[in-house]
Amino acid sequence: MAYYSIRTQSKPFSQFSEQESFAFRLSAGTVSPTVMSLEMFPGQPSGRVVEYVRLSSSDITFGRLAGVRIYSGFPQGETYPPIRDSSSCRPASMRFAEALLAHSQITVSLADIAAESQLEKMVSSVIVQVPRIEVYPGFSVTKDEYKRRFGGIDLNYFRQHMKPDIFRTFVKGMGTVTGVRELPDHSLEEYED
Amino acid sequence: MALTYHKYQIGATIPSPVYVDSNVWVSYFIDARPKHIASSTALGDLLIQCEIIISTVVFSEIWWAVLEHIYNQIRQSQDPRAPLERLSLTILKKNSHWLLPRAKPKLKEVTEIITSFTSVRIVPTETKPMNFVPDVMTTHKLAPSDALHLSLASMFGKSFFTENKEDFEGLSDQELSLAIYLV
Repeated sequence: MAYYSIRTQSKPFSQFSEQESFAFRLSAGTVSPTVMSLEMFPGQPSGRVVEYVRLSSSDITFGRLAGVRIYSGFPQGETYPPIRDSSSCRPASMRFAEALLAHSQITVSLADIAAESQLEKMVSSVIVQVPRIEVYPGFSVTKDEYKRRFGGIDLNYFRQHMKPDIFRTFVKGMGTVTGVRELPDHSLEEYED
Repeated sequence: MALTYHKYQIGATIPSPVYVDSNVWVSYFIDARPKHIASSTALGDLLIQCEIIISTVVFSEIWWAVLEHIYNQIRQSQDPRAPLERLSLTILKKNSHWLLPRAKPKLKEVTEIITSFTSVRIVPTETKPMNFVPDVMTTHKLAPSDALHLSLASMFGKSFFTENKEDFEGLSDQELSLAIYLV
């Protein structure tokens, strides 16, 4: 079970108080929106701030979004009656929840969680922060990028058999260009008019 | 006697040096290519066990392919219904003002990666393989670039790695002391 606190009010983050915060409890530990249940609980965030991510000025202007705070040590063991479930969650809300699930502990402040357009904005911002897979020390990629570039390739084989500097260069170049499908090969002459 | 093609298998001993055709490099760099996995795996294996040779014509074809993919990727990101388009010289000139600045970092990155591999050697442009090209073209009805690839490969290497068997069909291995591998 993971616990998340979501601060949500129709005002800037700087004007939030602890009493105005809400908490999400996301159960089932899955990122599948079809099986995930989403309940909203009143609660208070606590614990130390482990990361602070400032979003772009356009985000702040658009949704009066001050930033994202990731907390650890959110209080557990308390029970509250659910005030919202997955059936009432709109698609953007679910994607937002998915993004949250990708984090271990997170507290997010946003201006108005009920506004679909603002949620869309928020989701795109949060997704950027999803955990990354470290391919080698100092080089990490998102799960999606890993699948796109390295999916189906036995990187461990090359990690074991290549010199470290060669492995780093090899991995860096593999799939580094995001191409388009169904663009057939052709020879140099065909580029000429 | 028809040329013998070898089906590449990871870990198999490959006669070195190996001339790697541009299509293998392109599939390694471009994730959307159908043979991205196979070519990346083969190239990685070659980097472990062989000396790889590359020519300037390979570089040129890689740069064209990268440019072409970036051109289409940008167009489709702006309009998902945009049809795929060949990047001819005319289209490149017409769009160079926005395409080249956008593509420049990737072109530099791709170039730096190839030249960073210590087992990759750029073959010199010498007279002998050039003189061989017209013969190879005429005898085997090959396009100039394919004939040049083969001439350079047979001059400097012992193996030739390619994705496209079609480009080299009809070749005789009596003239080419070259093991051709299909990825």
